[in-house]
Amino acid sequence: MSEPAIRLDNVSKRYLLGEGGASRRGGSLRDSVTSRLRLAPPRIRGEMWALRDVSFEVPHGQAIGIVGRNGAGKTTVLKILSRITHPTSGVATTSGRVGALLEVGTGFHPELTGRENVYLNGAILGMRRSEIDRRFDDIVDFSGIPAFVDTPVKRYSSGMRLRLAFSVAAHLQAEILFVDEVIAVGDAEFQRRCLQKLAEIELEGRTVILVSHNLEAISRLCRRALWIEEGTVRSDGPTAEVLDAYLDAGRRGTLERGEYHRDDEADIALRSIDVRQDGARRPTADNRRPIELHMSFVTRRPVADLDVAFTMINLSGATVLVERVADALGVLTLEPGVHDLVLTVPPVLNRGDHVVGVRIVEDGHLVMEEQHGAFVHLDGRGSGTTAAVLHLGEGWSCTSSTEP
Amino acid sequence: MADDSDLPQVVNRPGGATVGEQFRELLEARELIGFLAVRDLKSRYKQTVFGLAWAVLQPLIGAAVFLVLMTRVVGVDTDPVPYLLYVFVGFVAWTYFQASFTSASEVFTRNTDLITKVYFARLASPIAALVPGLVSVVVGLAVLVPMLLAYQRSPGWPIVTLPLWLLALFVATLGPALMASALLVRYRDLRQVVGLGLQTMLFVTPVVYDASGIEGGVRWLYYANPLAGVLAGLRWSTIAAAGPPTEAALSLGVAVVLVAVGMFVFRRFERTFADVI
Repeated sequence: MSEPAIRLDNVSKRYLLGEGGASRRGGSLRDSVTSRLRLAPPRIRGEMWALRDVSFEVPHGQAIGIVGRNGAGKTTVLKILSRITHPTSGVATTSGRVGALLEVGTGFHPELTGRENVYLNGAILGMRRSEIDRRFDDIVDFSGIPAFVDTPVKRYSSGMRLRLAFSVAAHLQAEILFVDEVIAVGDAEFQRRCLQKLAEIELEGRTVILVSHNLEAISRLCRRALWIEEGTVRSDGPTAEVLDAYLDAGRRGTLERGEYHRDDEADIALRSIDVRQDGARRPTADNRRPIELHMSFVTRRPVADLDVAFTMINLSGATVLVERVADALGVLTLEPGVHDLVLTVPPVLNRGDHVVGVRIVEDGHLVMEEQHGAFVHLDGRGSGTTAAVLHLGEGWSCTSSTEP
Repeated sequence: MADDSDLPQVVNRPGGATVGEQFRELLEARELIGFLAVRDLKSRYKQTVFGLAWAVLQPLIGAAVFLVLMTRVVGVDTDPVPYLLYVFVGFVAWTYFQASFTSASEVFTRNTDLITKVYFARLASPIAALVPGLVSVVVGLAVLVPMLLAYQRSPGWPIVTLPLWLLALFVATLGPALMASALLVRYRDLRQVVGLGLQTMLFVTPVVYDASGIEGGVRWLYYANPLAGVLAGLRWSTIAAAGPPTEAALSLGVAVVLVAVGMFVFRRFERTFADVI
C-alpha cells in the first residue's frame, strides 16, 4: 500500500472573474482582441480562490465525507480529482479506476430508448461495451423499470429517468467513486436505495468520496469526514468530531451573520436553537442528567393556532424524537414579541451524536423549518453501540428463589 | 485491493494532460466515439419524417438549383462529365463538410454538461460529431449509381480509391472542426466568423464549377484549400472525371497540417473548458 487511492498536494484553484479572462460565462473574441490590442483594459473584476493549498490523502478502501457550505469548494475538489478541471497549482493523484457521479444522467438523450441510453451513459462514465453487456440485467433490475427499457426516455417521468441513471452509475466497476449530492434528489425510497447501494460499494472495499448536505448519510457511510470552508480544510478526522465542529460553527455563524433574521419582514422568524445542561449551552452533554432543548423565535403579529416541534435525529439516521408543544400545552396563541420555548428531555437517550431541528406550523401550514439547528454529543454511560436510540441504565430488577 | 501497483495512476497537474496521455485516453474512448456517433445518427433520423432521404435530398436540391443556374444562365462546361453528376458529387462532399463541421464546432457549447459534469477524453466529442455525416455521404453516393447508369458512364478502376478520398474528406474536415470546437467554447462570438468562413469556403471550393481552367501561381494557392484536392479525387473515383492534378497533393498536405494545428489549439484551450463555458 505504497500509494494512497487519492492524494492532493497543496492543490489550489483560482477562477478569474470578469469578462476578459477565463470568466465562468465564456468570453468573447471582441473582448480578447480589444484587450490584447490595448484598445480597452481587460475586464477582469478580480479573482476568486475556490481552493487554497488543500492537501489530504485517502487510503484504499476508505469512505470519506466532505461537508461545507455552498461555495466552500467541495465540488471543486471533486472536479479536480475527476479531471473535469485542472488545478491552478498543486497536484492531484488518483490510483485506480475513477468513477465520478457529479450528476446523474449526463448525456441522456430523450429520443433514445432506456436501453440505448444505458449503453451511451455507461460509455460516457467509462464502461466498456462488454462490461455493460454483462451488467445490463443488474442495471435494469436495480432501476426498477424493466418494462420500459425499450421506451424512449422522453416518455419517462423524471423519477424513472433518475433511477435508471443512478443505476448505471452504481454498477460502474470503479475502484474510486466520487458522489456529489446525487442522493439529495429523488423521493425517499430512491434515496434509501442509493444509500444502501453506496454502503454495499463501501463494503466491497472501494474508495468513496461523498459530498453531501445530508449529514446523516455522511455519518452513516463515512468514518472520516473533511470540512472545507472558504477553500481550505478546516477540519479532518473522525466523522462525529468533524460534524460536531461544523454544526457548531454553522449555528454560531448563522446567528452572527444574522441569517435567521434575514426575513426581517417575516411575521414569524427563528432566532436561536441550542442545547443546554445545568443552565449552560453545551455541545457535549452528560446523558445521565436531563438536557434542555432551547429555541427562541419572534412573532410580529398576533398568532393563533401555532404549533412548534423539536426534532432530534441521531447520526445513525434514526428519528429519536418529534415533540410538539401542542401535545403538552395545546396550540399557542401569542401576542407579538420574542418567545422562548424549552423542552426538557429526561436522561434516557443513548450516547452518540444528535442533531436537533425545529419546525413551526401555523394553522396546519409549515412556516419555518430548520433541520440542522443544533448538535449535541451525548457522553456518559451507554451500550457499546450507538445504534440504539435509548439507553435506560436502570429499571432492572432480579428476583430469585430456591427451587421448590 | 491487495496490490495497487497495477492500478492506473492518473495525475492532474496545472498544465493538463501530456500529449501521450491524451492519445492513450483517445484510444480508450474509441467505443465512446462509436456510441456518441450512433446517438447522433439515431436521434437525427428518429425525429425527421424523411429519415435517410434527407441525406439525399439536400445535395440533390443543391445540384438541381445549380444545374439550371449554371448551364442555362451562366453556361459552364464540365465536358466530358455531365454537369449534373459533377455538381451532385460536389454537393455531397460540401454538405458533409459544412454540416459536420458545424455540428462538431458546436458540440461543447450545446452540451455543456459533457464538460462540467463528467470527464472523458474531450477529443472524442468533435471526432464523433464527424461520423454520422459519413453515412449521408455513402447514401448520397449510392444515389449516384442510377444517375451514372442513366448517363451511361462508368467510373472504371479509380472507384477502388474511393475509400481513400472519403478518408481524406474526413481528415480535411477534422482539423478545422477541432479548432472551431475549442475556440467556440472560449469565444462565443466566433460563430459569426465561422458562418462567414463557410460562405467564403463554398465559393473558393470547386463545388459548382470546374477548377481545371485555373492557371499560373494562383493555381497553387487554389489547391492550398484542402477541399479542392479532395473534390478532384472524389470526382475522379466516382464519375470518371479527369485525374487529380499534382497540386492535389498540396491539398492533402494542408489537410494533415490543419489536423496537427487543430490538435494543438484544442489541447491549449481544453485546459480551461470547464472554467470558461
